[in-house]
Amino acid sequence: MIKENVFLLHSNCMPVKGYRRSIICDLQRHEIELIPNDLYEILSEFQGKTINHIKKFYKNKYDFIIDDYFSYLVRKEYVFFTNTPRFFPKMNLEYNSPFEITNAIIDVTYSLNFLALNENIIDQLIKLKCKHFEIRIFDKFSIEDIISLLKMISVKDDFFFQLGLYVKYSNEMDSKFLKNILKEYSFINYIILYNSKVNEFKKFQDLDDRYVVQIKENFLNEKSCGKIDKTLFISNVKTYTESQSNNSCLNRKVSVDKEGNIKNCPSMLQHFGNIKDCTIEEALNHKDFKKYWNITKDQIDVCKDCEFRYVCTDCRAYIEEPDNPYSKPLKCGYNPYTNIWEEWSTNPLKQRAIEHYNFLE
Amino acid sequence: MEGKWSFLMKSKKNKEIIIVSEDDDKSTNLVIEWLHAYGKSFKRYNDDSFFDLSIFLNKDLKNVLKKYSNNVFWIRRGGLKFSPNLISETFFYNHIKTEEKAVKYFFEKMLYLNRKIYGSSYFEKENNKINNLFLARESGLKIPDTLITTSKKELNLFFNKYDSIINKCIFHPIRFNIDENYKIQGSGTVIVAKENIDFFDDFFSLSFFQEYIEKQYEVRIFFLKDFFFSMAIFSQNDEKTKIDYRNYNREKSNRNIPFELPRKIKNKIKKFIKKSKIDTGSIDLVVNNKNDFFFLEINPQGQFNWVSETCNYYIEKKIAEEL
Ligand code: SF4
Ligand code: SF4
Repeated sequence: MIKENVFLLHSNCMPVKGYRRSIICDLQRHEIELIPNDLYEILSEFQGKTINHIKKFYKNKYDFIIDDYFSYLVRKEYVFFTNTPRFFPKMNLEYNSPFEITNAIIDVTYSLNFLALNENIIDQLIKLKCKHFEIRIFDKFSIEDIISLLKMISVKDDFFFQLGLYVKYSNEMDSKFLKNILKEYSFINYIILYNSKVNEFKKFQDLDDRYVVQIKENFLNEKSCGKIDKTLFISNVKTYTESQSNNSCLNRKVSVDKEGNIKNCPSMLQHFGNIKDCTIEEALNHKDFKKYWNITKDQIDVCKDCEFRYVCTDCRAYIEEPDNPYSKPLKCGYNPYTNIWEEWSTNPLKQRAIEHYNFLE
Repeated sequence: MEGKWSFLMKSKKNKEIIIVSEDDDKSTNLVIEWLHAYGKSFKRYNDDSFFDLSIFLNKDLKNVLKKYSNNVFWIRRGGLKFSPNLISETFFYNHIKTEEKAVKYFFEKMLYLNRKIYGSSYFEKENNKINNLFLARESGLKIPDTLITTSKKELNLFFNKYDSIINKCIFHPIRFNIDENYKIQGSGTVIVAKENIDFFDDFFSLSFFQEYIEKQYEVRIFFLKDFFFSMAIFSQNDEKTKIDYRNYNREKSNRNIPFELPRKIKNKIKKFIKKSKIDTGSIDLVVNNKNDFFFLEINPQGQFNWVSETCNYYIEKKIAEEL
């Protein structure tokens, strides 16, 4: 059967070509596999052809390698063989969402009326039907304060949303406490405990996909955001399709920084009003609010040659050349021309930008 | 002319969609998001909410449903419930339920004739596998050779005809709660071996047997009226899911990819839909190595968000547009 049938990639396995190597994004199994560019060529040029056809095309000089490639592709279940290729259309890469805003970041610092302030913001986000929001608490809040914040949110059950929470670790936050919090407040999707003693990923029984991450790093302020790391790559249909035509961080995002300024992202300089005298909806109508939403990795220097461009997150707030909105994220240590990952912060070429953003302040 | 149009506009504007579902049904939530986005008005009834009903029978077809002339119904899960909550807690509720059922089925039928309903509780509750197989055959679709019998003799003859045969439930999956600690649950589809049959008495209670189709892949179709969304499920590589992909393989999921039904098969399915009057649901097909398509079954209230997400179809959006 295999010999006379043509091969097709399963249409949720997407080959992406980089400068020196390629990857296959397995959007169904959420995996990323490196492949040589030769194999990428075969996959993109010869889909719908038989293996014999490919071998002949290369004048039977590389039969052995081609057989090797295909036994790998079959083992990984990336390809299949069929005599009815017309039954298997390509996957539609459209990205869509019912709502203008899909995700939000709220940075919270302590003040006497922090509850009322944030209630106002959350009410507005719920009105916009924002489904995911992240609350980042920079000051050390007491557990009681955190719980009163969660209580305030929990009464607003008129729409389905998910919350991610950044809090500073303290000794009282043991497993039992965390599990109880996740149980009690089912809208919490994840909790990130920064300034922890360990780096650890925690999941609890009966709590499905919800999790707690402990990180040693201290998340002092919004400047800690924007890191690009391979552990943050996501290979799924939503990310892949969204990054085809939109920015993989800033699209449909709204943020309120710690001073109450309404922005696309808390780390950006430009703001569009303050929550005290303007609504999020009004801010969204500003002509510049969405200016980063459609910047794709295909337009960004270096990223456009990178094999990870559709599984990687982006950052437009911290970039290598602060004056060039199309330059590479500053906090990415990957070089697609050499395939080497290096520490970004010590890279001599990045020092000027690092100074510009004043990370040590 | 102008008057006519403004009437149309008006009736469209006042339309209210009635959604019947369950509290935690994800597919419903997704459609509702799009209804919000399109600014369509709707009301959701979950399985425990009371629906206030009045039907006037001495009127013609249109007027029977006069009270609901601005509504369109989407029966996503379960069905309408016409008893106020207080009553559903009483001992005579079981009796009332059978009365309700008779009215509910009639009401759904009236709505169907008026083209004001998507889905039905009737077809879900009374879903008859055998009748569906029969109608599929009548519509020109292939079905696996099927025997429903009480006789060991017939079963043996059937067994000898095929390489392999399977058994599955006729109506509902088996589920007995013997006591708190002991439950029996059917495992879906099983292969029948010669030893199994030898063990039987000459006569047994009604059982369902089917020729086992050596499959290339399976096809799951979600349809609503004229929309078809199909997905191929490649499960053959995997012993665990070889018989029935619902024995989900947790370690390594089957490959599920968008599928385009050949036109001939699609037309036959359309015929089946017309004959069976089931206007939405999920259909399972199996395709053998010769590219023959066999109809297996239909689930009138089948989920669609799995197919939608996996194939990036945005079925929830299309449904919200259609309603
Ligand atoms: S643009 Fe950069 S700093 Fe802003 S939210 Fe995205 S990753 Fe963080
Ligand atoms: S080069 Fe660009 S796409 Fe590649 S890993 Fe870095 S930020 Fe991501």
